[in-house]
This record gives sequence, structure tokens and C-alpha cells, in this order.
Amino acid sequence: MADIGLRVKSPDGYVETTVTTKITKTIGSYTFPLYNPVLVGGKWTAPAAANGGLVSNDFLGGEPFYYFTAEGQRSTYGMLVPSVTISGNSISWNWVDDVVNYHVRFEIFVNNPNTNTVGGITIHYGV
Amino acid sequence: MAVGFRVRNQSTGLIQIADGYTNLQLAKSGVLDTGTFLPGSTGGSPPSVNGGARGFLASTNATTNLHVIRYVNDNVQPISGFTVVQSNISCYIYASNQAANKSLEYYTFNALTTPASGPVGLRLKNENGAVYYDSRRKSLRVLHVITLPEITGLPILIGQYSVGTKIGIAIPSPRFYYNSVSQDRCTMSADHFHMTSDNRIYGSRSPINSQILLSNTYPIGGATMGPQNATIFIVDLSEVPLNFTA
Repeated sequence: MADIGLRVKSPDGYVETTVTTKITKTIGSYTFPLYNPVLVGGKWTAPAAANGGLVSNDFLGGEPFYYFTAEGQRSTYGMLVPSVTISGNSISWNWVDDVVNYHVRFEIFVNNPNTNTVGGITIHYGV
Repeated sequence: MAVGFRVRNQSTGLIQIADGYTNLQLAKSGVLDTGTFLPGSTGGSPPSVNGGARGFLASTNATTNLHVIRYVNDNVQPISGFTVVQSNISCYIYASNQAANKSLEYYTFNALTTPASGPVGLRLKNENGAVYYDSRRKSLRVLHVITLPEITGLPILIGQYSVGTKIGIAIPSPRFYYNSVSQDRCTMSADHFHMTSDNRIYGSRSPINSQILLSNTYPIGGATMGPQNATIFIVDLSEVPLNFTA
């Protein structure tokens, strides 16, 4: 496509936007409630309710991205996040059992409760 | 609704900018001296925890912060990597204090809208007069979203991106890896990333925390987020100022 039409420059002449410039847009966010882990067969896992997803047609309008921020998860040694998949107009997330197990045990150090070690984060997404 | 100005995606036709448009905006930027980064450690006899060298970046809880990092070291080796790890209180940069270049640039974007100033370029308003797009805002521009390959240890080349453009890396959340050689101890590692001046990006894996306990807490073996989907994205920093405070 010819590079003509709209062109926006900064005061120093730098071309910030043309008709072919990739423009980023944030779409939305989802805040995971705080969850307590569930002991299954000697392993701490995420409750089933922590897995899920949502649909947004805006994902079809570009190259989707996402990132996470903290919302109270007990995470002294690092905020645990789920595995995220974006396909078509859907985004879904799943907490990996074995990783949750180690994360929970790490956070117990030294004598902390294991409460609120799952969820308690926000995923932000855009294109 | 009256339409003033709308921008559509070139390939799909979906509306990219119209009333309701939102994007992240630069809130703060600056330079950290990785030479001052120190290991986090409780010290003493077990139970104990030893952490990798790190520097404080920002508070975390209930923010919308996205941190973009530019940290160039052309001699790619384990000590030239960095990662960003959040807790429920703080966000830290983990990086060795031994790399040749110790100037780590950070650019923090968030969803807060601050007034723009200076000569007007393009400003779009809705029917009520509210500005939903202003070219003077230093907004986030994602150039590439990269699905990470499996990273096992030493630096591996992920790719070369937007050569000639000043870029940074945003890490949505690094993958963690846990390893226990015995039930009373566990080492936690994380994906680290390396940048060169010609925009090659490498990935490696390095420890960030190790615990030694007095109890049999961990299953022997390990667990990894390695196989799971994970991304980083490349951000255009061409016109994003350094040492900025909104």
C-alpha cells in the first residue's frame, strides 16, 4: 500500500503515524479472585474455578498480547501465573498443577499459611 | 452515534481507533545501575533462602504497570541476561552485577491518562468532547509478540527484530522452573533475556531463589512452566523519552 493519506508528525518532524503504522490498543482485563490451593493426592493444585477464559472479537484485529499485574497473591518469591492461550477470538488460561505445587511450598517458607497462593492477579490484554 | 474519525486494521477491517480507544501510556522511565544489584538472602543456617542479584523497580499491587526493559550487552553470556519478577508488593529486575554494560533502561507504561502538552499533532474527541486519542501521548507500541521456545540453560538466539529501531522487551511474566535434589531444598529459576545493539534477542535460564529447609517439604525432582505458552513482546522505544515522569 502506498504510504500516503494520514501522516502524524511530532514537533521535531518524526513521523509517528502513517496509514501503515501498527497501532497498539488495549482491549480489557480480567482479575482472578484469590484462591486457596487444593490438596489432591499430596499435591497442591489450583481449584477448578481458577481455570477459564473469555471471548473478545477484538483479538481478531491484530497480534494479541497480554501481561499480568499483582492483586494480592501471596507471592514473596515470584507471582505465579497460569498458562495462557489465545486462539481466534478466545483467550483461555490454565494453572499448571506441578508448578502450583512448588509455588505453594515455596511461599510457605518459613511458617506462612498457604492461603491466597493462587489467583490474585490481573491479566491485561490487547492487540 | 455520529462518526468523526475511525481507524481500521488494514488486514481485517476491525476498528482499531474510535470512541472508547484505550492504550497504555508512558508513566515513568529511567536508568538502573546493575552494578549496585545485590543478592536477596536471609543468610545464616537453614532454614534459609538465597536469591540472585536484583534491583527494585516499582511497587506492584493494584497497578496496571507494564515494564519495558532495554539492556544491551553485545557479549552475550549468562551474566548479561535479565528478567522481571513481580511479587504482591514489589517488582524486581534480576540481573548480574558483573555484566560489562551496567546501564539498564526501564520504561513503565500504565493505563493512567495524564494530560499531554506541546504542539498538537492529531487529537480525536468523542461527541462529549472527551479526548480518546492524542498523538502527543507517549503510548505503547508493540512491534512483535514472540512465542518463546523451550529454554533450558545457556543463552540461545530467539531472533532478531526491527533492526535499526530502538526497541525494548516486555516480559508478561517469566516462566519459572523448580528443581529439588532432596526434599529439604529447592531452586527456583526463571527465563532471562539478553539484548544486543543489533536487536538480537536471546533467552537463558538462571536461578533467582534457593531455599534450604529443615523439613522434607519438596518432592524430589522438578516442575517447569517451560512447555506452557509464554511470550515476550518487542516494544518500539524510538520516540519514548528516558528519565521521564508523568
